[in-house]
Amino acid sequence: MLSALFNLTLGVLLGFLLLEGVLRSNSQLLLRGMALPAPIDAPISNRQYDVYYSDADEIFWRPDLFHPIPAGQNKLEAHVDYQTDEFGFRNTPPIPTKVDLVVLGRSISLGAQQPSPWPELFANRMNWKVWNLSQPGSGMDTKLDYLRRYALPRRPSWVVVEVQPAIDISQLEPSPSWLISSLPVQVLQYFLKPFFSPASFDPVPPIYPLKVDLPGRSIQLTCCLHYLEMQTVDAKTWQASQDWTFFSGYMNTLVAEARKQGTCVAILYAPSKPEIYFPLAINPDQLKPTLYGVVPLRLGQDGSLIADSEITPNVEELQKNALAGRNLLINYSRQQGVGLIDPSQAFTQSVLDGADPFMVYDSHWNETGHELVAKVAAQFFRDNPCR
Amino acid sequence: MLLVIISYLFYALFDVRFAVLLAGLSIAIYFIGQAISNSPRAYWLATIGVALNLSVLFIFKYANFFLDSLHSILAPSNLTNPPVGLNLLLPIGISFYTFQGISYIVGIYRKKVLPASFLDLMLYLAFFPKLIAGPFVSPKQFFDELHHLPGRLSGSDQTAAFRLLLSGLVKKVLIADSLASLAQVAYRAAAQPGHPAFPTLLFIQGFYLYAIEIYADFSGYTDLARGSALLLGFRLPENFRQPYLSATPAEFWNRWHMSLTAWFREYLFFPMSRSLLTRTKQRWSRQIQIGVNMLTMILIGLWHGANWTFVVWGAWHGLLVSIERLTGWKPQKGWQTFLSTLITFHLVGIGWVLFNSANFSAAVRFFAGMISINNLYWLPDFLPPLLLAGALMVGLDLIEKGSLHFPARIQQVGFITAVVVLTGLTILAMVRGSDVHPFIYGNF
Repeated sequence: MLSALFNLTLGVLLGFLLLEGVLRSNSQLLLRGMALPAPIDAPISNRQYDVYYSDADEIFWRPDLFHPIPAGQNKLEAHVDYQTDEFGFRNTPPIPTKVDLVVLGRSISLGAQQPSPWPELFANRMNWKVWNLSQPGSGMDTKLDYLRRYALPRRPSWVVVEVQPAIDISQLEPSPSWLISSLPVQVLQYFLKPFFSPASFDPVPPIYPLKVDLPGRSIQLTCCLHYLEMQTVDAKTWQASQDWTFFSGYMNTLVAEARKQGTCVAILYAPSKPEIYFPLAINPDQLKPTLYGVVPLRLGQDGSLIADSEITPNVEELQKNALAGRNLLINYSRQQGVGLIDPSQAFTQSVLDGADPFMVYDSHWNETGHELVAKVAAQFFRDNPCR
Repeated sequence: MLLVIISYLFYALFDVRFAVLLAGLSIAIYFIGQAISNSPRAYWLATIGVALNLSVLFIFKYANFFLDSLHSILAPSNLTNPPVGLNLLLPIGISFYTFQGISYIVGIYRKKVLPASFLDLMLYLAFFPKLIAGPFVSPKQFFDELHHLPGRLSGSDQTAAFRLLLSGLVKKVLIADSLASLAQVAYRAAAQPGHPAFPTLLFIQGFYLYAIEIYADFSGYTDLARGSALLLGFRLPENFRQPYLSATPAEFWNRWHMSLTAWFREYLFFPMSRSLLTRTKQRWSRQIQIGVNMLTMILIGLWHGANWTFVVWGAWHGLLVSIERLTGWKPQKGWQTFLSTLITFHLVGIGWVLFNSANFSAAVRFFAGMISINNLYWLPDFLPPLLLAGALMVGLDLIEKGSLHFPARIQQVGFITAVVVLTGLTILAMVRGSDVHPFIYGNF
């Protein structure tokens, strides 16, 4: 009996070890949402997909918050057609021998839900060789890993790090050392999602899309819960948190390693929807329904940001904290001598002019948003040559 | 009867029309077989039977290929009516069961096989473990097995069957699909038009990984076929015997897809050689042997696929074997065998590039990519899957060969390890979506 148990345990451990080795050897086997040692799209392939309103990431995560979209109104928002390079990143192969700019970002800079992401538009505008190493879910640790493994051997002149404060500087946990450790969660989610959703545990009435009055116009706003929760944190609290410590630690290492090779670094501040729209809302009461399900965060004794349901969220506070993350990045970039590409003013002006830079139901930038960022980035590099 | 129904249901899952075609061909072969026996026109009936099988194969598999080739030859002369192509679906496994049909008819003609009952014949052609990708079984062996099926499977046969099934799954799911499938990246790169500068190591990885992929895929399938057949009491023949340990190209063909080599030897090479030698009164025996060998290998290439790359692949092997025969090369000492094995592996690998390339331009780009010097610092990214796939395949081969023996306890641990990995990969594939690679040889 003991012998059989020993054999079973050893067999299972060896099986996990071998599975880990296989997954590390071929990242295409991984699921999105698992730790990413490398892109999971097949290298040197053509990918295509269509994006309808109903495909939006916000609806995927909290369908209960959204009024059903009538069939006739479920429009095609984007047709995405792209190639992947030798490693599975979204670039036309082959990777150029000499690269001017490397982009380390998440799904936004990857160009999720968009046919032409800003790195591509920027490359065309500036006639630069740009290598886009963005991947969905790419945290700071993954970005640092990609810098070392892929970017620096190409000796780029510039590295741009996309930072979306609500995700990149919040509740940051390094990717697990073992890929297989994140497998059970993914599998359980897959099998249980049809039966359980956040609505099962915390039902809220549908609120989106929400009519919000802005100066000179009204919009139909949709928001992702996570971004709203992060906006309950002010800049001071954020900076005192472990999240900021983690983020700045990784960022410092990234900057130091890039500079050691003579590569210049710039941060791209990637604003979220509430960060742009909340400060513009004329009537805060219109934004109150967005607070359904929002549990404000506060600083715990150990420096972590803890959800505290005892605190009542309020719209004014969210409006005030809208650019907390951005301001942290401005301070950081000044202190570290790192460039900052900040499209928030361009986004705000675009909204006021009637051209929204975000997708309708999705949290990603749309064509306008990517164009604006490409333009702002181009201006930044013209004004700040790498020395 | 039950096995026939199950086999046809299995085939019908792919497409009902495939099953209808197979049933129709089986009926025709049955009646021809019956008629051949003791008929004064046996030769002509056998010829009709062989021609019928080859015609079915030609129409479904090669008609468009030859029409397209004819069109490209005639196009420069501005013919206004190019030959029209046939829009036919290629029935999966057709290359196997038509050849099995030929084996049956020729067997009866040569009086080595008695005409079988209709159900027996249907089962011979449609037996589901071997229907899609072999191995080829002689009709005599199959009918002998069929008429002497054990009432109850012995313990050792059960163990052997499960071992084969597990081995097949490990080779197919773990090695071929999960690791070695990365080889296809190099082929996709080579298929890109122009001369894009891809990393050298991409092609070198693709070269070795594809050799592993095709071996793991096909031998894995064969293990699954043999294992499932053994559970039903049938012993299908071995199809692979550590082919990459071959010291010469001719030896490779005695170890790779052995049932196909045996078929071509039995029904083409020997009859044609004998006939030509008789007519020429043994005068040009060497030339005849080499000529027939070349033809056989070219036809083996063509059998694999309707593309000129397969024909050239076959010719490449024909050339290798011919050179071996002409030079009489036979390694004697240990280090000669080792070196010869290494060279043979790489010569076979060159053939695989032709085999898997979309066209000749892509194959040329692949070879050019291998010898270019581009971005060699990517080695840590390209090496791990190659090392892991290679180590697993070598390990499995050594176990099959009997060079590696493990006590029962280690075998138990190995079994559990394999089950855990296969379960993990299967769950991942299920959650990720349908992404199972079709068996490479299933397209034949």
